Amino acid sequence: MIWRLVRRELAMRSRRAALTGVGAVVGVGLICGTLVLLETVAATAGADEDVRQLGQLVLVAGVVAVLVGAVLINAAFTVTVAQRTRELALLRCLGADGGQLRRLVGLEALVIGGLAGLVGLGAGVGVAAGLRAYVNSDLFPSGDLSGSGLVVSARTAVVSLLVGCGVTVLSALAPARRAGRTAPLAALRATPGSVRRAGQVRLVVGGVAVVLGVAAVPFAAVAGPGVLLLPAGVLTLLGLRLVGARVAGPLARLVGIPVARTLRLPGALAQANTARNPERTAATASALAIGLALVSFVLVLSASTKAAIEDEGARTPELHVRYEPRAGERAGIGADVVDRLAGLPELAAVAPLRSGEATVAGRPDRVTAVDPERYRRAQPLKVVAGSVTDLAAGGLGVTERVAATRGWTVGTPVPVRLPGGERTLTVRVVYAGNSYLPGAGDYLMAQADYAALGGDPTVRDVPMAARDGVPAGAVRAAVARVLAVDPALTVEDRGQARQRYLGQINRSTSLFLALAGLAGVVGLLGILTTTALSIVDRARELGMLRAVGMARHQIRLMIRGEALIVALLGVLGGGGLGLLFGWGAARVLAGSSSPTRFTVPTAALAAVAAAAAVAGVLAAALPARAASRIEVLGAIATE
Amino acid sequence: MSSHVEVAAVRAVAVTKRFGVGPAMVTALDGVTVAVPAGRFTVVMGASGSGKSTLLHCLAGLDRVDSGVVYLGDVDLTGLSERALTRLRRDRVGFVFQSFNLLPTLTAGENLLLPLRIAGRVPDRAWTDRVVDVVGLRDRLAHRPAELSGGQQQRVAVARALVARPAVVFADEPTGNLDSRAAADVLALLRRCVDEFGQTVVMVTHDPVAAGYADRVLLVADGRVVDEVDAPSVAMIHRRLGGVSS
Ligand SMILES: Nc1ncnc2c1ncn2[C@@H]1O[C@H](COP(=O)(O)OP(=O)(O)OP(=O)(O)O)[C@@H](O)[C@H]1O
Ligand SMILES: [Mg+2]
Repeated sequence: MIWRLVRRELAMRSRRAALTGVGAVVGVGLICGTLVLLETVAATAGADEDVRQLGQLVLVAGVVAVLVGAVLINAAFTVTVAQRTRELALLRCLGADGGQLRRLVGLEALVIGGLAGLVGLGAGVGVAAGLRAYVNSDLFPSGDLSGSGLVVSARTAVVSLLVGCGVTVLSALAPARRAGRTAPLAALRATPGSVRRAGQVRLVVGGVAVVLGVAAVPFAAVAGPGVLLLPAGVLTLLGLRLVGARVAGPLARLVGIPVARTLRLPGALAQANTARNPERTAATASALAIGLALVSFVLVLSASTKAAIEDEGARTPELHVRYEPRAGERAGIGADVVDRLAGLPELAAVAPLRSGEATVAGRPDRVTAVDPERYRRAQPLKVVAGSVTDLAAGGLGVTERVAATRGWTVGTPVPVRLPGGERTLTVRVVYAGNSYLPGAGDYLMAQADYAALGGDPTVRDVPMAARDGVPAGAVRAAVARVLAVDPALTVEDRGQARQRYLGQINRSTSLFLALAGLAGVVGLLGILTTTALSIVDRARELGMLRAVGMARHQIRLMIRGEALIVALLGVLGGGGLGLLFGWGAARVLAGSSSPTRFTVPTAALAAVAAAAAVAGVLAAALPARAASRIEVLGAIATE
Repeated sequence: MSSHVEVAAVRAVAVTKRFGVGPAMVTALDGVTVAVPAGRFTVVMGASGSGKSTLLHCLAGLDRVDSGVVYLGDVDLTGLSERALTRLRRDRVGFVFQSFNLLPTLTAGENLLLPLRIAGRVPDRAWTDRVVDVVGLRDRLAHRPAELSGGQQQRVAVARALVARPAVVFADEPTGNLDSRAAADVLALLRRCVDEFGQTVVMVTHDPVAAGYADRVLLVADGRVVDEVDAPSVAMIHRRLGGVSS
């Protein structure tokens, strides 16, 4: 009996089913695409680590997309169950018990999930093909999969189906429970689409979760461990999902004010409609908000990292020798090269750096050996305490970060062991280190002490300063001529170094943005699906509006206005969360080995917000058109 | 009132039902005591808002009463758990509503057998055939509700209510959406169920003509049963209704 009802429901209302299942497809597709890629890599001899890492990133994006999809599917089932209240109640009148109705919705979810899994499997093969093309292209630095076909194993298919069914059924659990509680009398009096208001318990639990999650951010940023940010984020999202339905109404009213002002009557109706159905508004907006939170988080972190790189620019040498050995070569920068550089009249200072493994106060690390006098002139060091020239004979230089974490100051004795012996040096200078750009490493010591203790004599970098008044081009040309003897060596000036690292950040940012953006795309898909579902829900109402004289374009405006309000809610919520957690993460990272300086990329964030709002309206374009085409008579007759 | 002893299919004793709280509270049923005779066609009439539907729901176990007792046969509905009420709906009562009786996704034939399927019972072929013939829908069984007229849909609903052989069929304005011919068909059908199958039927209606098909009419006003008329004529109903509303 139940099976037949489910089959009929899915066959006759396939649009509804498709709109519900679509939420799972993107996530399943990404996960399945990763699996195909990884198995293809495993089957290909010599496929490399980079490809595997790419796969892992896509997998993470897939998991995020599945989570966003879960929110969507939950929203779709919530709407669907509310729409079908009368049918469910009729079944209750005919003797169906709560369990049967729960199973009805659950089985429907299982079938939709299975179909979504199948479609996701197909999409996943497409994703994998796209990834393979990307890996084979010049855009991807290493790896080549052109030799092998895509491997779609039974495991991949099973995982796709399991994920599809799992996420759909889990998302449908609460709506199924609600279906099971339908009273038989609801058949007679239900106004379809009315959704119960959130319960008090739910409100309190959600509120506490949000407060705890948000409060954990400054705590983690200032005092606590940084990893706290992760559970804090999850807690905040869960909490928002719980309180969402309660706060969405007033918020939609608020955000809707400008929409109502500009779009007049359709706008005012849109405002009222989004506020009237807070559960749907909240679910749709939060799905979009997750993607936008990720995108703005990535943007904030990226901008903060770039700000830190810019800060380091002043502490990087005017020129330096970039040493890029080919595999197997470890000769370093030749002594003759260093000597000839030192002889160039265009240069004011040349300071070869040697560095090697060492044990500093019991911890393994790398120390850099310098000629203090030459180094002072070639490397623009930002000294916090002491002086570089004091390094000579028994001195040790440490970065601010090391000094802070180890509790050292100028004058602290520190034992340093190198391959040839151990000696206790004294901290003589504390300086700001560079983590991205060429510059001072964590530990500096005098070349004489380093050599005496048997440190690795390989020269790995040579900071240089040009003589005043010599044109930059002439300096570069002179250095380049010297370096021409060894293809592993190139000259790089301050601007080039900066560009190189900013470029690296930009590349990884765009990769992360693309992945976070996928979550945003799923969120936009949510606007499409919930809007389309809501129109089925409101056919009568729309017909009535048409009957009392509303024009088609006004209906369209109204539906688009609703989408705009929901998108704006998502933008505000997601952007706010992204900023908050971006700030937290930037603060946590500020003192790490990849430091950041919290920066708000205002222009980029504004562009993303605007794009999301526009995309939200566009996503509703099709449903809006469908709504405007509803026939007056047909709608009134809809039962 | 009839003098011979009747077997009551459903009985309400001092039933009160209120909706809402505080100043918004409405007393929909105000101490109703009434008996529905078995194997008869009982019609409930009264002004809009007088409590007819509420009475029907309480008698059928669709709604809980605030005080008083409802017996269906010899079962006290007020003492039943939700689970037991569900089983009772499944096995002992049938419903026909004014509209939205049929699941739009199922065919007429599937709708017909839905209560049996829900209960996991095997349909009795002979009985089902007979019901289908009585309602005259044999050639329509494969159609979906959207492809049937309102009158045909209501006849499917009546057939469905009969097919599980319930103790009582409850109908709330089953002809409310129909024109007089379709309405007459449905009423004649209900009448036949009573006459041929000995089915107990309780029907709420606004239509004095519909009351002409009844064995007994209960007149409801302000949540009370104010009059009971056996085998009434249409003219008499008009008179009594006039008396009630004045
Ligand atoms: N669920 C409810 N909540 C609040 N009040 C209700 C509810 N159901 C019925 N009532 C009220 O109880 C009273 C009786 O309602 P009922 O539906 O029984 O009237 P009725 O006689 O069937 O009217 P009609 O002929 O219009 O169908 C009315 O005043 C109605 O407003
Ligand atoms: Mg009524």
